[in-house]
Amino acid sequence: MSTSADTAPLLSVRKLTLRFGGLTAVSEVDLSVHPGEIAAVIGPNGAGKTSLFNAITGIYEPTSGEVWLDGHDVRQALTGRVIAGWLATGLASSLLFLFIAAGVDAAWKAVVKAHAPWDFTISGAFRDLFSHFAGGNIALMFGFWLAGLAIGTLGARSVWLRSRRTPQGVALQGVARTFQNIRLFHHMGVLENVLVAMDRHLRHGSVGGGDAAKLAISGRFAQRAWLDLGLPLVALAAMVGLSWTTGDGVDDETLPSTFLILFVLTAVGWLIRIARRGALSGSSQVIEAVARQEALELLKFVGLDKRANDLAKNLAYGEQRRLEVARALATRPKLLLLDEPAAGMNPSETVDLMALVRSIRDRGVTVLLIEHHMRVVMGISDHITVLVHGKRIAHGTPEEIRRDPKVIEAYLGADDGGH
Amino acid sequence: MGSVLTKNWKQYVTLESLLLVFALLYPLFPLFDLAGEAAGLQLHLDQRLVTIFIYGILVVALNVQVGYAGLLQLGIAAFFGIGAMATGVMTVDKYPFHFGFWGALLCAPFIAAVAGTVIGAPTLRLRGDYLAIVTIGFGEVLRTVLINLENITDGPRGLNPVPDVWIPSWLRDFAGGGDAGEANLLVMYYTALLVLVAAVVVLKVIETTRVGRAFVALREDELAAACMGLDPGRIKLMAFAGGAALSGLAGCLYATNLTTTADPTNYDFNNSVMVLCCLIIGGLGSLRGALLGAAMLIGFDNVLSPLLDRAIQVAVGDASHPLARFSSWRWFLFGFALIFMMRLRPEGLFPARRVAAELHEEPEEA
Repeated sequence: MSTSADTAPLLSVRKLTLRFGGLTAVSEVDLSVHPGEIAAVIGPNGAGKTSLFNAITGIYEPTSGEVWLDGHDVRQALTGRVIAGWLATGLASSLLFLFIAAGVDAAWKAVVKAHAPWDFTISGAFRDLFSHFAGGNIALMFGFWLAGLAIGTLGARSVWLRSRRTPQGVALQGVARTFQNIRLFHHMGVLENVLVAMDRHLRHGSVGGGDAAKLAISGRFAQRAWLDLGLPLVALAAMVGLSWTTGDGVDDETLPSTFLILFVLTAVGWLIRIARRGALSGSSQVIEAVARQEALELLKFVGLDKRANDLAKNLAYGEQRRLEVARALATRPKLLLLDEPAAGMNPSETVDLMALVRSIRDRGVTVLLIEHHMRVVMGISDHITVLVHGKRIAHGTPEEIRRDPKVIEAYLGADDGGH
Repeated sequence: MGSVLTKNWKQYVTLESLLLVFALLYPLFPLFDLAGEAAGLQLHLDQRLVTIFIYGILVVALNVQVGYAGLLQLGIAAFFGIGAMATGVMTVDKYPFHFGFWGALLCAPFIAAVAGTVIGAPTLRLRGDYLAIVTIGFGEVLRTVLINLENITDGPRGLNPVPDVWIPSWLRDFAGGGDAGEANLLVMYYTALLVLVAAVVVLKVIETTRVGRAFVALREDELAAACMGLDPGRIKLMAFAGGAALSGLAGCLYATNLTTTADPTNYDFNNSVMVLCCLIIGGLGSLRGALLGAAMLIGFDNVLSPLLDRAIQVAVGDASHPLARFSSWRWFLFGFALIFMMRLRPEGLFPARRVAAELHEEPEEA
């Protein structure tokens, strides 16, 4: 893909450095991957390839440098909503501190217990609360309030700062990966492994492979869970509200009784319905069925549809690797990171894998892989980056890499001589 | 032909239908009580079963946190207490709120869930042992706070009287045959049973949905789950708050059943551990196990040992010596049973298939 250099890169890693104590695993590495290409990172063992992957996917926080995806920093952006969230946390904790300073017990005594139950009004309660606060040590309470505000806001801010880059956050932006040491959910079924990765699409009802009609169905049904449970809850709330406003011991209990019976009947009806369909609502049942179909298609794509109902741990090694690929594809990534996909595979499996990686690219997913098999790397990559001791020593097409004297000296020559 | 019939027959033997058997059993309890009277025992099966139902809800709630999400929670009784205390404050005569039982049933789980979120949001980042310590601490602090907020909770005396379950007066007359006490027992029995069945049905459905899968995935490999876009913090908080809400529901029923919020020491660490023991003996992660554990342990504590005490008294005549009372021995037996269980069947009596597999990992691979 010679034109890829003209387009904007999908992934761009800028001067990424990753240090663990005194050890520098990755040192000022630059890497760009353009949409629609297959890129590879190669290098001898301990060159920092997997560390680079972990930094890209948000598992490690880079010591310095940036990771951009599709023109945005993968770290969560600082928006007004985020700041509003800090302030809301601060306000909640400031109220908590205020009540601690004023004494919850004393405040309760002044507000609730000061009157006979029948004299209690909500406006009166607020008045009493303010006069109770005003009667206390104002400076102390203001100090506590301010301390609560500061602790809450700054605490929320520091938590946010530390969790700007998370694996789930990067995954949601369209990066999926497989692992060098296979990390499947071993005690779950093969199909379930794929369904777990479709969690977000299930939540939003966006399943069915973009099929407009199916999407319309799932969209229209999307609120049904609340409707189903809403009826009993409204009936109960109406009953409570009615008996509260009419007070105790009123002769006319017709309406409350009606609503109570309505509540019990609708609640029991709801329970029977959800138990029979095995889903919390009609919409989730439809979405789940469509998602299973989609997951099966993905399993077919990697050639595992016959084993959909087996436990993941019972699959053969090569099959487990392919299941990991299917699971990663189920998140519908823009970029797929494969960490040594051919490790432990025999030559014929390796050929199949190369075909699989190509067909993933043909689905419109950009692929970045780490690999040791030179035949795989040279056979399928559009661009190759060579890492040695955490540093990028070369970057180019397979032809260029093959001829690069630095690569031959530092990697291919030395390594091949050893074999 | 026969096999088809058995298959059809078996599909109706579910947890819910077994629980519904208890609904049909209620009219027969007077017969049991009469039989008990003849043997000199006061059975009161209806009252004792209500306690078991309420603890059943609590064990199922703990199962959401410990069994599903794998969070080692040792302070479940605190949320139980929050539910009970909220019910007391919302319903007793001396406060102006007068929400009634149904209002409390609606609000108590919500309040407990808010408390769960406030406690959970900052602490769920901690792993295993540390979370356990924080939850123990929260339970102990809450007990002390409830005792010391005397103006609100009436300290060790507890708030009372918490009103009975409200039902229309014509239904009450019909249910009790004019006897208010009988009617209250019956209504409490069916309300607790209905809430338990509802909790079981909803959780059973949730186990098979997206959320249930996310729980399992998170327990198996948190990092891989996060890399697939699942937010571990959110899912854990959901389980924590959900379990707290269910405990609050159980607390509401508990206070209503006792007609008082009782001494806050009822919601202390011992209670939490008891509930955890029910869950572990029954089987982590499995609803059947949770209910069986509740029935066995709470049944042993609340039904069997008082009955055996009485039986010994009837048989021996004078059983004033502490060693002659079965209830003096019950913790000894209980501890023994627990050690045997952990030695022989660590996954519990009715474990969830997956949890059992996870616990038997080493022998399989060896």
